[in-house]
Amino acid sequence: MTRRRFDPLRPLRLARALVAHSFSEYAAYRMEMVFWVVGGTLPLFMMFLWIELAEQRATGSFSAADFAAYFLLVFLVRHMTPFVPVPELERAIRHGELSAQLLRPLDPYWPMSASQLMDIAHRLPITVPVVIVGMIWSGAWQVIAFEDWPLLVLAVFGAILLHYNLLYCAGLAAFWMERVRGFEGLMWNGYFVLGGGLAPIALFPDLVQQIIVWSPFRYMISFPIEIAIGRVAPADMWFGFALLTFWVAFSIGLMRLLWHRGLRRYAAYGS
Amino acid sequence: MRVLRLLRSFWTNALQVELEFRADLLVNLINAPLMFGAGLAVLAAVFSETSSVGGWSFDEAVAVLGVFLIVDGFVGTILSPNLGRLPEYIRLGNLDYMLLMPVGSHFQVSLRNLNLWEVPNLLLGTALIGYSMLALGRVDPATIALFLLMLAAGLTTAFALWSIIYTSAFWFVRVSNLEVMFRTLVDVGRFPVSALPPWLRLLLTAVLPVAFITNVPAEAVAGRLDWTTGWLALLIAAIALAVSHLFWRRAIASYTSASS
Repeated sequence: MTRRRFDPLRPLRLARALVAHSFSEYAAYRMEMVFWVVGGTLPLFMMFLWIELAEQRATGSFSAADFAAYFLLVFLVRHMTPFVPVPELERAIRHGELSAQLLRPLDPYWPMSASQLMDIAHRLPITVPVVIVGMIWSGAWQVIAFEDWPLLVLAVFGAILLHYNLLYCAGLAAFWMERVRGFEGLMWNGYFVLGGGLAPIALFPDLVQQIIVWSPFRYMISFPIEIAIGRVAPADMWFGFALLTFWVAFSIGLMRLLWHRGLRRYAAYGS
Repeated sequence: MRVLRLLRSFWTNALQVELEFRADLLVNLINAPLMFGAGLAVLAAVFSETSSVGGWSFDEAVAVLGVFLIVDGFVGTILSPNLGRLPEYIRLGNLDYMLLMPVGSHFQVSLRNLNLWEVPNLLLGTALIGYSMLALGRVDPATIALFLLMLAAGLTTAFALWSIIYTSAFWFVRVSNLEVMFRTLVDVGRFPVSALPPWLRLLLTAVLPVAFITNVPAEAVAGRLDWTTGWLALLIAAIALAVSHLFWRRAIASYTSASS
């Protein structure tokens, strides 16, 4: 690689260019957004199911408003943690498109991150109004713990990082395996079903709960939502953030390790 | 007969190809029990709050989960490795070769491959059905036959829906995410549809026949199936299959190949 002049603004200029590029790319595939939005409505179906259940029984730990708030937020968080990296990396590695990307003086991780960010940003104008209207309609806004918003922002940020990097790791497995789409199913069942996408973790059997609390799955969906509806006790908050930090660091470390190991292998069969 | 011979040669070949992807087996050996356990955990969560969901007891709802796992296994073994690759076939031009072969293109695109590694899901789903039948004391030939018939109808409907969704790949180039849409709807179908509010129940029965895919076979297991629903399930399967085939013919007629 040629030596470049030191340019302190390079990261900023790069970020701007990447984001602008991703924006135009997403704008070109608007039709796909419709499918994504419809495909992401599972939490809303679950909300109606749970509200119906809550109205039928006398007592329970979650009221109908709790369920409404919970699943509206699952809907929102779900749309902040989409599935970009696995199919893209699989294609790039298997078809050799990665070779062209490697010629650029920039790790392919960053263009994909920009793409992911734009993906998230593109969904917000649709998802946020749905959540606001839903909150007002169901009265669910009353159970939201607004005073904890800084923690909530941190937890959501951590959830996005963790989800993105774990999926990136799954995609990088394509250096060793021909097909990695199977990992998507694994992630889906782990993070969405066990992570609280179909039922609040608090309602799972005790043994299952104790395992999930230690797993990364809780921190990809449930944890930010538990904070938002004020269901994390102050003592557990530290525990939660400590584990979130651990898993984020773990996922980034693993991602870097797989990237360097894989690249060596890739060069070996590409030449 | 020709169809059977074709299927045999397709699938022997597919099997040989699959043996090259043994890592998939490992992923699925983790995934299938995870999905099974997670499904049961969610069901336990639902029943921790109430003793009946939409009029279904726990043992009956287990049958719905079982059918859901079988449908998911069917998607993994047959639908995803065939129709799921259609957008890629179109983009890379493989479809042109398929059209040249003296075999029905819809048939070939739908049944050419077989992913054996997804079979664990099918087995775990069958085990749940078995449990439900035992728990409800309904292990008799009539129940089993009716269940298999309704399951066949449900899987046919699922196949037709997939075919219709993926055939639209001829017009929208990037449709790999369409699968997410279908999965969402089937994921709702892992619960008794009768637990949903009436307007949603109507949507999942009349507009999108999800109830007929996952719920009706389970109704046969639980002995809740009435004649109307049973006949309707068969009728819907037949209509959906016909529509999907006509839609495919329409799409192929307007297809101008990747290279021209």
